[in-house]
Amino acid sequence: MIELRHVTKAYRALDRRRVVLDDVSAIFPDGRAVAVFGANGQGKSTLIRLLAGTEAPDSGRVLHTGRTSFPLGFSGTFNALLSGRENIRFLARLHGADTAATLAFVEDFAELGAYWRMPVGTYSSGMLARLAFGGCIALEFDTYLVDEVISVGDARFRARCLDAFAARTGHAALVLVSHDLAIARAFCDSGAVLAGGGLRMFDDIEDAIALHEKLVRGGERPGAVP
Amino acid sequence: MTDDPDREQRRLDALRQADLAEANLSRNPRDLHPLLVAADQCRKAAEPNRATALLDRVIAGAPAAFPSRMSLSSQLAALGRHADALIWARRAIELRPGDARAWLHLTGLFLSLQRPRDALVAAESHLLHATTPSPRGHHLLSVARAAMGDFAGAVLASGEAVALAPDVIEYRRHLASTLGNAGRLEAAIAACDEALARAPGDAMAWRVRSGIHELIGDDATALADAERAMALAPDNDSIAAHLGALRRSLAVGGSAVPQDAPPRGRPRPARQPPARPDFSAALAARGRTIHAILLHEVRTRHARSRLGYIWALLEPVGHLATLGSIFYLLSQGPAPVGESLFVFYITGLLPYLAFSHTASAVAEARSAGGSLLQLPVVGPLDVPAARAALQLVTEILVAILVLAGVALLLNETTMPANLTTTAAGLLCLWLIGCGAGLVGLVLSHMVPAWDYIWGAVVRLLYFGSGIYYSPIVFPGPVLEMLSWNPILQGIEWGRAGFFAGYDPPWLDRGYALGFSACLLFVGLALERAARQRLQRTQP
Repeated sequence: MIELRHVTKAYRALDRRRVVLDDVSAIFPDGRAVAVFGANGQGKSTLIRLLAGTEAPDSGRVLHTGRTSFPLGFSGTFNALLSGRENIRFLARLHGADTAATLAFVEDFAELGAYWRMPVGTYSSGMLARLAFGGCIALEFDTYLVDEVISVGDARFRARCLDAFAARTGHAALVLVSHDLAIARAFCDSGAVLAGGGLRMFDDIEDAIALHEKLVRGGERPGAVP
Repeated sequence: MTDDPDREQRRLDALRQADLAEANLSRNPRDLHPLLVAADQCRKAAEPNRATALLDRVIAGAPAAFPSRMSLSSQLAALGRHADALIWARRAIELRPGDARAWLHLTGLFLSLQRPRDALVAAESHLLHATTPSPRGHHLLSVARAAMGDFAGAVLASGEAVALAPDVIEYRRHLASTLGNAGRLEAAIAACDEALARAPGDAMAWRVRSGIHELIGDDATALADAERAMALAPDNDSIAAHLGALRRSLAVGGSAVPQDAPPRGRPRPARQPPARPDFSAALAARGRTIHAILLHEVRTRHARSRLGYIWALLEPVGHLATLGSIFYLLSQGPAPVGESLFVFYITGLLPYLAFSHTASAVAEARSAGGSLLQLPVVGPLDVPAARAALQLVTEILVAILVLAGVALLLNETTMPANLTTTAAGLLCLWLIGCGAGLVGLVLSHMVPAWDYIWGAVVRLLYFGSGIYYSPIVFPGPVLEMLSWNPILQGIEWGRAGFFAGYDPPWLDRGYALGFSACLLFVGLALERAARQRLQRTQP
């Protein structure tokens, strides 16, 4: 579970304050999958970073019970000089996972062949993405965070990603940011809409989608509310 | 046609004025002012064609003065010729780039031309140059932001406008509309009701209220509001269109959001909430994380080299051997303490390097391991802690290597007389290194010159810590001063354990420990206070 308690977060963009969250209190409960909607620039990625704890709120608190994942597919912590295997072993150790089982899972999943034991710096971007995706779902988290990237690679590999991800998140809570309504509907039962510094939570994802679409229509055509 | 004699009179006056102005132009081709006055009168007297013709003559005359250009631009805008108005507004601003009124006018023009991005810049320039509070400037800024989809920013600007001019219904109406578009629906309704409390007959305010209720999903109220707006302004096309759309959507089956749609999505198994970890489990998890980072550091510190971590040991060993030998060769005579001058030097240099290496290892934790902070499992102090721990292990290994090497090669006794006391001195210096490192971690990001300051401090301490001499060689007052140096205290503490029977009177273990505890506390407090700022500058 992740709880936002009176969280305010603003940025200085050029010369003015841009409020992303304005005194938001919300709960992302255990075992629920929440899709977060919001027009571009409303701060969905910032919300994910706040939930991950990689960014601190200006005021208020972000409380975690259980373990929160790094955003799915994030490869920024890989050391380019170490092999994929060594990087995954480090991730497994860091998270207290069974090292051997994690290594076996990722080696099988990422389909890197001989590159598995080569420095990550020699990988193509697709290989790196497969490694990062495998590294995240190999680890057991209570809450998974997903910022747009839900599957990588070609069509066959994407299908594998979705299957593996569904198998994992079936047990865990999920906070997902995606523009793809089909993906959001497939993985999430509840929804939230991020707009104008507020975060509205809905038990039913369809209610969230309805409000989101109204807001987007309004944004594209100023005058929905004149 | 006109049955109002006054109005007819004004019309005739305006036309006469126009004739006079044109006649004047043939005599004074540079005198455009009468044309502008006449055009203004014609427009107000419902003679737009005559006004347009007059303004065309003004354009042909290319007015060079700021007031003429502004007047021309305003009148063109009033006649709906926004593109021409824009040209002359810009030419006016070329003459007076600091004129707030001109920028405000330009903002309005850009908005009319559906160029919100330019309007935004113009509105900000206006607010920059305005010497008095400008509610309209904030209002137009809000309109521009809303048109670009930045409703959160629009709400801020709109709130400013309402605060500055609480009685202008247009601003309140717009505030309600931006709040609605930003998804803050309760606040939007409140703002709308406040506007309506001041002007119950404002059709557009009712129209906005209807739109917000539609977003909320309260279609009945939305319809009632829209009908009210229609009754107040029967000729308004946008209200009519809105009402029509609402009626159609209600006729085809009520709310746009189905109230009893079956829940979508994959059914997920119920799951026991994870137990809240107790303190010892949390501590174990922390320790595991730090241990993993430590191993990672070992693996990556010299990853480019085949020797890897061995380098981390060879480097200080080489340093010690070189410096120790140089000082040994330069100075002759008996050692201040113990049998060998070389061993004496080593007992100063080893602990000193433990301090300075630890300080820099901790201070560089952000640049070296910053990306690990992107992992939620890694806490802000984990990387510094792992680096400090690794440094301690490294220093101990280096000490063993060097002392054993000296014993073997030079046939000296290098076994400490009291191992515990020697280790305590080393540990104390390591703690000071941790504290100084934390302070450096924060200050190197706050104070640009910190690296230079710290470099100077380290060089000063190198010579002021009794590495190559015993403090006994100095007269009382200097000795007194040197004994305040906690690094010297730590080194002497270690020597007191290393050399049997050596117990210098200036050694104050309580002071050394107290200092290291205080410094560590200051470092931790600084890090806590600056954590948010450090996180914000994370790459």
